Amino acid sequence: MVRGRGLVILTLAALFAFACGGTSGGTTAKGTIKIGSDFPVCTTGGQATQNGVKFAVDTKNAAGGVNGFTIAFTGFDDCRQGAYSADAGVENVQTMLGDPKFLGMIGPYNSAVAKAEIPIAAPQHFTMISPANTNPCLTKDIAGCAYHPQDLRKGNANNYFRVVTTDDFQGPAMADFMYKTLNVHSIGILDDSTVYGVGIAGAFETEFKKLGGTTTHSEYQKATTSDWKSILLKFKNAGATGVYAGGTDDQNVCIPAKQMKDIGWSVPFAGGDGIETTNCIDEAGANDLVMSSTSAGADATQIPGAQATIAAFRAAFTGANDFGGYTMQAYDAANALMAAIGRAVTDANGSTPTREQVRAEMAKTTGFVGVIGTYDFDANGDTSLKIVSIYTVQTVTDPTKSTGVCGKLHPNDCYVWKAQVNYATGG
Amino acid sequence: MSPPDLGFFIICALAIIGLAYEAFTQPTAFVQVSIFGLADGAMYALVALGYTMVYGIIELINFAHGDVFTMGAYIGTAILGFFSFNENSFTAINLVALLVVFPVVMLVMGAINIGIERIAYRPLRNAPRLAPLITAIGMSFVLEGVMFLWHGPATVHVPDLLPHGPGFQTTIGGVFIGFKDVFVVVTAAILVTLLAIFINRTRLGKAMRATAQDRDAAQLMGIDINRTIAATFFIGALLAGAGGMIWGLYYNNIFYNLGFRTGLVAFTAAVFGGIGNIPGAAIGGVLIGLIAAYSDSYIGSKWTEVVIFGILIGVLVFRPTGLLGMRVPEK
Amino acid sequence: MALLQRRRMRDRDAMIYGVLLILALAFPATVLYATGSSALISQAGHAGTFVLLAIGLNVVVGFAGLLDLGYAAFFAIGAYTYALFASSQLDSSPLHHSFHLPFWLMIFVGMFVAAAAGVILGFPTLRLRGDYLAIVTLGFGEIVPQLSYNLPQWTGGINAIGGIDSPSLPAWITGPWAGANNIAIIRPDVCPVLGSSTKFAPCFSFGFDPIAFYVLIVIMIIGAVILVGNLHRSRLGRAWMAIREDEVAAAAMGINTVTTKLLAFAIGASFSGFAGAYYGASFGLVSPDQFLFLVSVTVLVMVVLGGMGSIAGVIVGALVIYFVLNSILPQLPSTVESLANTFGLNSLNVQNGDWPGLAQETQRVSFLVYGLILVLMMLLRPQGIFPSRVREQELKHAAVQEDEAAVEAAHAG
Repeated sequence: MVRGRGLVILTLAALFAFACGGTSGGTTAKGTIKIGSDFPVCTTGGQATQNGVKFAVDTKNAAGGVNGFTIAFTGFDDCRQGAYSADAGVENVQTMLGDPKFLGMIGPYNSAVAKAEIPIAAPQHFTMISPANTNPCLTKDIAGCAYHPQDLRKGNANNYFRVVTTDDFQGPAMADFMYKTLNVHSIGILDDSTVYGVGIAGAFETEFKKLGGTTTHSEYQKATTSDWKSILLKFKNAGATGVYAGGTDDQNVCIPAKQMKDIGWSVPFAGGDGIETTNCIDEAGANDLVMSSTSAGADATQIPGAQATIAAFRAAFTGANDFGGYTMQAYDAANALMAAIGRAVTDANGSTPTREQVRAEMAKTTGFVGVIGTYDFDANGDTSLKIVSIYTVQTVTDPTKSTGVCGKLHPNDCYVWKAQVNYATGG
Repeated sequence: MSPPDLGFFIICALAIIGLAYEAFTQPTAFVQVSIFGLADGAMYALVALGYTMVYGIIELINFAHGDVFTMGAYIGTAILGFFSFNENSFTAINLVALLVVFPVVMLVMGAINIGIERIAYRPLRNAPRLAPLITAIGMSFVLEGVMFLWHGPATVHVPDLLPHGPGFQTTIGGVFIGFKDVFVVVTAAILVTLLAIFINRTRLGKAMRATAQDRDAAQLMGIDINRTIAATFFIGALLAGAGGMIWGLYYNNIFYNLGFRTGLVAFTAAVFGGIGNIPGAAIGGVLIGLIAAYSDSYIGSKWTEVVIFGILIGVLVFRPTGLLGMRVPEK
Repeated sequence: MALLQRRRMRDRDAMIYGVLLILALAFPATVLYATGSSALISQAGHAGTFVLLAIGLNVVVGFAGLLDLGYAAFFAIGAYTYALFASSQLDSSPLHHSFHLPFWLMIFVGMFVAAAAGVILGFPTLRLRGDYLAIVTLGFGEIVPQLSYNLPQWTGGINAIGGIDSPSLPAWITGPWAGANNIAIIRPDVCPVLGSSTKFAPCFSFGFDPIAFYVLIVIMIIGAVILVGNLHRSRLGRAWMAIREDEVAAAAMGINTVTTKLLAFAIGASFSGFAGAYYGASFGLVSPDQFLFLVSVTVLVMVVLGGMGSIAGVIVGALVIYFVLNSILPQLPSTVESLANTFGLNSLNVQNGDWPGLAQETQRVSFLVYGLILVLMMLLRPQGIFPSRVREQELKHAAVQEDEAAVEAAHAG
């Protein structure tokens, strides 16, 4: 017993001594700056997005790196058991924060993950730039958000930027499309209870009601729902002639499209960028109901300047699913981050800059020329580009002429670009 | 009647009154929900039977059973891949595929479950109670891992080969009934009837009942315990495999960890009917299916899990012998 | 004989504690020196949470022999108790007011709330026997995360509570890591003022400094080991053992079995609540996904693998399982990928049709590997790595009985 107690006192003393003295450990090898990415790599969408970052870094290093430094890229995966996980994202960010050579990250992919990561990265002034987060509450202090963006940053300067526009444009764009183009005036709205799903469904509902439509809203959770038929029947009985799905396919939001047909109810099915995926087309089954989605940016295939980059990318990444809806956005985000790092190196007189210097330079980005357009970041970290594209699933003869997002089981059923709405010019 | 029992009955009575109110005010919707609940319940019953039989005979909560169910759907889908049929019309080849896939899946799953019993449970039959429980959880992870490795995290599409579409559905008084709903209930009923005949009429069935009652006495009477337990696992997996296949054909989308939640719900059904009690599990399955459907519609689907596990706890605390109040092995 | 063995056992445990302590002390400096990154230290902090959980569950399962399959529920209760009162979450709840109470208070509140939940659940259910208790706790373990999914106005639902306050100290501490560029220290920072989320005041916050949290968890584990060790040797510890061995005989000896079991259940739950509050603070995020059935199972496996009833064994078990789950399995894909490159099998690494690439495929294997580990472990060493003395003898006894039974069966056949 006595020995045991002695051991404890010794330990505490040692811990204390360790906590209060000693010399510095850790060195920085000159010549390399690390950046990371955080995507759900287990999904085709996450993998394709990570490819965009990889391509940007490889291209930059081949061209001599950033201001004399080589960029070392690490792609982190925030999947747990096949779907994105905020916990895994937080662990990845903590890993990056623990290594002083990491100066910034591209990602995350899912808004729920961003909401968890920002409060951890902000106090360390760690730059995050997302190619795919669309939830407006992450940056904008608007009505309907459960929290203020400054709370997420815990009193620190903004460290979070994104190159895509937000769901308060995506939702309304689809509401206009459904109400005016598809003539759906009563709709059932389904959301998957996630940050993203609730946000985009809410934005859709507000606009749809403003247009004069009637809505029925229902929510579900992936973990407990495999049968949507009672929800769909409720919509049908309420007189709905369409369904809007706020959510992502990895939360099973596309399976209701199949069950609609099972209860003999074939009406248009629409959603945000979360349903613009290969899985979604497969889960919905054959293309016999009108399925549409939006995407929070200009379609890269519609921008003349992007064609050369896409061709170069296709030459480097040859797989069918290597290119996705957010690959070019990720490419842009990585380039914007590397440009900021380059300017920060200059600020640091040619040596490795601090994270704060990178963050400050990122915030000062103006007139950045990317493949998806030329843009700035406002004080919230949002892009000045406010374009929403609209796609529908169609049976095509040549899938490479579409967005490239086609079914695996139905390889000729692909998302095809329909229209785009530009909110920056009031369009 | 003790006060806790009284409270339990009051809660049950309130639930029934609430449902009766719904049934009178919106009879169409109520009947519709009941039909969906019945179809789900039939599938839960098939899985619950496996839980209850295994628990009855070796007092093990077989956590891997839900994954045996999912595995059945995965293997069935692989077999269906050998056929080429049109999903949009029902032809002879669909019928042939159906007639082939069910027996094959059931036998394969039966064999797999015997293997699981041989590897993971039999060596631990005299070990502390916790040991087989942990191997059961381990086997559950192994099965899920195999399915994850096979098809990854995304949902797997099961061919829609049952008759469906305008010719195979009808609306009676505003209530939608598809061929699929009828198919599920009828197939499950046939399987349960066959099981009942087997248990009550055959020698092996008698041996199983005897072993469940008293393993040592059964052994003294010359019953081969190992063979009887293996048979129990085999039959449990036949039903679970068939259940998985039916689930796949009904919903057309399956995923690797589907069995976890389905298994827990089915297990609740087994407890509801009085664990170890075979007719109880079948009735419990149907009841849980109905309760889940009513909860989905009248309370909200996100509360269904809470309702089901609340029932689980309530039944164990207030009526440990199950709702039907039948014999339960007390250990 | 017995005395000798007892001494040997105590020596063995003392040696394990000694080795663990030296490792724990040397770990941070070694990691910083070797990798220049504190990522491993932050992992070690999370591992420490599981060590605490395993020590707590060991009281319930190992000492008192009660099977608890919903242990993560109490972990969740502790974590949510801290997260709700130490973040801005309640601003958006119907209360419209957040509290930002200090960590040092809330960690004990979390502990008591979890213990209270344990008593409330345990009181009606502990009279049930054997597996029924396991099933009830399983149901409870499913309901608690589901409630936090379902009440988003309070708990943030599936979107979790983020931005949880870090612990802060009245003074600042600097250390050997202060020289490194971005590795944090307990340093001047801004913290939300007590009871307000809009006002910030200077403070000395842990931030997300992995080393500060590491030191904290090591101190907490040492405290827990001393506490539980003393409990084990106390009158209550002997009563637990008596109940575990034979409940009827224990009752006949005058032990109040319900109270004794309830105490084990509540003490186990309180450890879980304590660990939960720490976990919320160190992770900065509390989401229902962190408290699913898998967590309960993992902690149970840690206890069983380490050796039920043996505190030193359980600590080792927790560290081994955590290391396998969070270090070996996640690193498998990149290891395999570079192996394939070394052997010129680069083509395997590329995604091609249904083949998702070797790394992705290896990542998918990890679940399977974990399952196999569980099965093999139980088949090969059901008593755990360092079993407690009593348990080991029981198992030996059981094995002898089994042999006798086999001989009898052979004669009969």
